[in-house]
Amino acid sequence: MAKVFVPALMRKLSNEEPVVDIPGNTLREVVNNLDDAYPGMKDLIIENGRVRPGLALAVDGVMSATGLMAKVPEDGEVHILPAIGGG
Amino acid sequence: MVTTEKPEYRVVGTRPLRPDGADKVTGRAQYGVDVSLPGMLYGRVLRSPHAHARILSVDTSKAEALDGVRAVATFGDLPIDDEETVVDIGEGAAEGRWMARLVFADDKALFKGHAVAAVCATDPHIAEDALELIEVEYEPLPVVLDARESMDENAPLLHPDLLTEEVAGFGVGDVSTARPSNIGKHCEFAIGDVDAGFEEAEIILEREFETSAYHQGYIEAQNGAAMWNPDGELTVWVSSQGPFVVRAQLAQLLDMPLSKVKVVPMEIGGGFGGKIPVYMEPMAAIMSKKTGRPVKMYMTRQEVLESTGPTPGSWVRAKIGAKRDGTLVAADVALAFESGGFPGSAFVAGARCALGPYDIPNMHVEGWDVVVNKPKVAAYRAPGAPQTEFAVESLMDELAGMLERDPMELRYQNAAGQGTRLVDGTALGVVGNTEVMDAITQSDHYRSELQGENRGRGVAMGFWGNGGMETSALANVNADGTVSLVVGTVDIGGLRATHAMQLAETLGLSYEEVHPKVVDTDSVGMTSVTGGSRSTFAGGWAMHEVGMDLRRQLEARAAQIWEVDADDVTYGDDAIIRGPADGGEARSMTFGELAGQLAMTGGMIQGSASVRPETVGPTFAGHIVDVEVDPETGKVDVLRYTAVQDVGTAIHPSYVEGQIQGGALQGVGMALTEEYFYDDDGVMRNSSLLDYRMPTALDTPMIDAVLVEVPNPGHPYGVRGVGEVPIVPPLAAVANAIHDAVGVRMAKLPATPRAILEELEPDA
Repeated sequence: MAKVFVPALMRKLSNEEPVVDIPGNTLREVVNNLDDAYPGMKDLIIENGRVRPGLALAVDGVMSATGLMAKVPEDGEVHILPAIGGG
Repeated sequence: MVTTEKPEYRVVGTRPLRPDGADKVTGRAQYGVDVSLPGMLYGRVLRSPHAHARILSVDTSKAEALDGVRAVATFGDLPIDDEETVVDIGEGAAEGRWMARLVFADDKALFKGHAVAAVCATDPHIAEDALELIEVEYEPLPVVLDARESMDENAPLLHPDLLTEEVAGFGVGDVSTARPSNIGKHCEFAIGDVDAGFEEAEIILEREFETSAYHQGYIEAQNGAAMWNPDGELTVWVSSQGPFVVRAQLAQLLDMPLSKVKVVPMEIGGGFGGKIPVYMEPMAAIMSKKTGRPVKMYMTRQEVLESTGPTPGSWVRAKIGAKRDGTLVAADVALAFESGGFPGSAFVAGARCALGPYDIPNMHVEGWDVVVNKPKVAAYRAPGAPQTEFAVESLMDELAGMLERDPMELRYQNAAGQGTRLVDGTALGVVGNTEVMDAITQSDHYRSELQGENRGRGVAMGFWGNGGMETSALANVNADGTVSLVVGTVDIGGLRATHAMQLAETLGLSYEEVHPKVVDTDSVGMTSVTGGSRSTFAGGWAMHEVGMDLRRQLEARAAQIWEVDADDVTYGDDAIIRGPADGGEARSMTFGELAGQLAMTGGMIQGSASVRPETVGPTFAGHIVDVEVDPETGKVDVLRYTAVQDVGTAIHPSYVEGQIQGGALQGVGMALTEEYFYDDDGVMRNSSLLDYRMPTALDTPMIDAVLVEVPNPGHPYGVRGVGEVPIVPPLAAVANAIHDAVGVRMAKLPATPRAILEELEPDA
């Protein structure tokens, strides 16, 4: 099971749980299963079949460079983060 | 230099001359304003004199009638798509509707200097004269210049339809359905239980901090030239931090396919994040389309300061809770960043970095991105982090004083390390935070005694996450055994050299045998901006991949020549290709020997790579500064400065030291002298480099850069980005030194002489 870290502003959908266990071998599977468990999550993460612009998904602390196709290891950590910019 | 274990390198870690050095020191390097094309026209821009005004009408007829004027452009010339299109500009996303209205004001001018119209003519002076013939009818509106005032429900609205968005759509309805306001965006992060943490605390410190807006201060002003061919192909020559993101913005703004836009990168005279957005390039393109001639534009320094993006001015309220033994147990940070006339400041980055150096179990950070009647902000070196970490590092200094602890010892006790969770929930990997702290406490500077009246010493830490993003490269093996390297990475700070060094290391060649070139967007694959401390990191990955591609191809070609199985051929790190013994005699060829045979054995070889590595290594920095404060004038002199930083692996140590020194100096400017000074009408009163006071080499002693090398395990050569984090610690380090010198806590920066005197003598 992946550990999905729910951002503070999305916790209303996760019954205020900051971390939830969700099955899935890829980010796409994890997000779909997350939405099954906590309806409404998917719409906040995905737009037109892709990760929303300005948002990033990270697996074990590494931003996914392959979007929803990224593999999620057993007990991997999934973070939902706003994209960050530099100068 | 302090180094943990790392491999032995032959090229990495040396200090060769940069390939572009001779051209730059002799003045032969071609910058944007050097572009000269047959029949070229010159463009100038009419800008709003008001910080906030409704534009009732724009009449350009008299200007168009002026002899020599060839075209005029306004907002109406942009093919506006008001759908919520979002353009990836490499370091975050830009919204199409705001981008267009930043290029040209629509029905409102939102800051003094907002572009209203552009003119091109056969001579720049004629274009200048034509601006005076454009008649604009304004209805001035009330001005709001401060983030917190702008958040007030009675503040004048810049955008009547602006609804607050949770960043990246995180919101579940509460904020995003509120009524229109000047709050463009909101974010919130939390781990642990911050209320319980503060209940557990035995000491709680809370203080508010403010910083001015600051400009990047690049010496070369914005510029660009455009040629719109009759066949619909647009070519743009520009000094920018990323030709591919210029292409993306132009394609969006002009409603063109990416493949119809070619952007040629010129040399760049500084960017620091400020040369990622486009300003005049779309204007030049539109006027080139209208005239069929190339159009060149460039800004004056006043335009640069008033119309391009500085940092946000900031307000931060920081609160930390600790046990009496110094253990941090809770932190709460609130911040409001001024985004300028349109939403989109780096407030999220500021929020995420604020508490980065420390391991605190209970944290909460909340931020607001607020529009005000100032120029739309842009990125500037670790955007957002200097402001928020100034607040936290000032409180850490104050806490150390209350507990009568050494300020570095207290920091070390609470240092973040591998496995520490940041406020966004992610856990740090291998980082060099404590190694930096060790290097500080063991430094000659920290151990030395500071003597003299009104002198003080300050320290501060800094954290920045760094970026990855896309980089592409091509490498052609030449018959003489050299390699021609082709990249799309704009060279800021020696990137040609660091790319060539990493490819040479991969191939086992000398640095001099790799010849790097920076090319246009039609000539190499997608490469994101030079920014985000990403370019040597991602470029190094690309160099490694392209080098390994060449090695595999060369092994195969050697096998073909020797008529053996390719699996039996190996390319050694010494650039010698070895095959199975032939009749008892070992077979081998040097890189050069094989290169000389390529043409007659199937043709030359090209390697390629397009990578998007995200295994970035966050960086920590710690600065020590000694100052002397003149209590009569309030002037602060920097006496000694040491900047310590975990740099992963220093590919070219001289360039790393240069980044650290430059960042530290810019941070000293933020701390002491730089300031956007506005009057009540929103007019910047110091819009020249005479009055906008950036520090120079004369204002500081030599900045001693100490490199700590804790290699990033997510990179073939251990690279961490180095360019941004050195601007983070100086604000608090200087403020803490001032406190140590004269006992006043500067919570508002810059600490100008006047501000210091007001603190020293509040009743005067």
